[in-house]
Amino acid sequence: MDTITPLYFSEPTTLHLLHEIFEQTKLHNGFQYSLSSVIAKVWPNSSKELSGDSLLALPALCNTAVGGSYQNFAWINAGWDLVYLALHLLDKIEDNEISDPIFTLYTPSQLNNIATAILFCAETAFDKIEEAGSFPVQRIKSIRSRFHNVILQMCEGQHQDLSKKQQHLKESWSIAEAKSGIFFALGCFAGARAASDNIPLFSSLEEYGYHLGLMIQIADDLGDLQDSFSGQGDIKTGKWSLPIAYAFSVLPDNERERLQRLLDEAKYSLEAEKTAHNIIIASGARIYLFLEAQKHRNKAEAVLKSIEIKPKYRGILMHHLNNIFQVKRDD
Amino acid sequence: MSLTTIAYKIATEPDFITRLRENPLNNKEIELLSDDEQRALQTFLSQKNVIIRLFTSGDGPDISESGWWTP
Repeated sequence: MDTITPLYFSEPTTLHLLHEIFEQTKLHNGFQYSLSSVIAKVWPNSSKELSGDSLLALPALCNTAVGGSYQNFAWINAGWDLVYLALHLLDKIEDNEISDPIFTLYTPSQLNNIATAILFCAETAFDKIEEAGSFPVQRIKSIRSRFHNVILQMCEGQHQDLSKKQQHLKESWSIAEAKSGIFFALGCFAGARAASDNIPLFSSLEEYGYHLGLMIQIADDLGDLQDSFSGQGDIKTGKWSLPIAYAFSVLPDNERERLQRLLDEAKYSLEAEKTAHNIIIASGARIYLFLEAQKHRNKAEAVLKSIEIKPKYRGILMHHLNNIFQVKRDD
Repeated sequence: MSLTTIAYKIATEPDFITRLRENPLNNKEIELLSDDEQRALQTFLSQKNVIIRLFTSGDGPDISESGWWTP
């Protein structure tokens, strides 16, 4: 495990800024409570200072890495965090993963509405940045426009994911790219762009974020495969994921047909779910996705080495890459 | 050979990983891989096991981690 220099971004936290939005927009206490309680559930540490090694501080980390100041940048970081939380919540609703007690206080339609409100809180955060005038207009325009583009592309990726029952491996990678790669790229871009006009510098950090995002998506899909037999795994819920797409791409025809039959049966048969899980593992899905994750890690590392940023920040960015898949070597 | 084929062969052909480990850099089967892919394979071949860390809402490493396979 690599050692990193601790870094904390103190007030204002995203939650402080959210309450500022509540006051300004004169939302009633009941709705404020609904928004806050759901956010606290999705993001348990939201009231505390933001640790530099939290992914929610990724934009702030990239911002300070290229010379920015968190005090000025906090609203942009809050905007990215709120989009992250809103999309995370929408994903949970769409995948029917809302069994947690706090979610059961609300109907799926109410949760949908709460996620939409959080998304517009993020928009309001950008109004605040423009009002404050702390950044050159052109930079804020390019960041805001990138946010809108990326959210639309993510919606497209999610739509494809929800629409197609089966995807080829290449399509699954495109969806992973749209769902995670470009979002983390956006966070890093926003952070670096707000503090710099140096195109190679902010493009490199954006590329780093893209590879990090894909690693996170790989870990997420592998985690869902691990979660099999808990009632929430992708096999049981019939969700098409990277390990499943991989298995279909390498298995011979007869085994592919067998796997498809088992996946169809897995919704109501634990035995079928277990057998499907074993076939996917035996096909080398974990090995393949580990290799892909390492490939992205290597690309991200090369990008970080190509730019000049303070060692302290480089260390935390590297820590993110090394923390998702930790390798224990023989030596 | 692509990463998918290599992963499948590692998983299904017991001799394959031994061949890769004996002569990893000059192995004909991996010569078409990019440098990043070859490095990824080296990491895989030298590992003892892998721990995966999962994220909740992204607020730091959380939930579960588990030791994995020893190829």
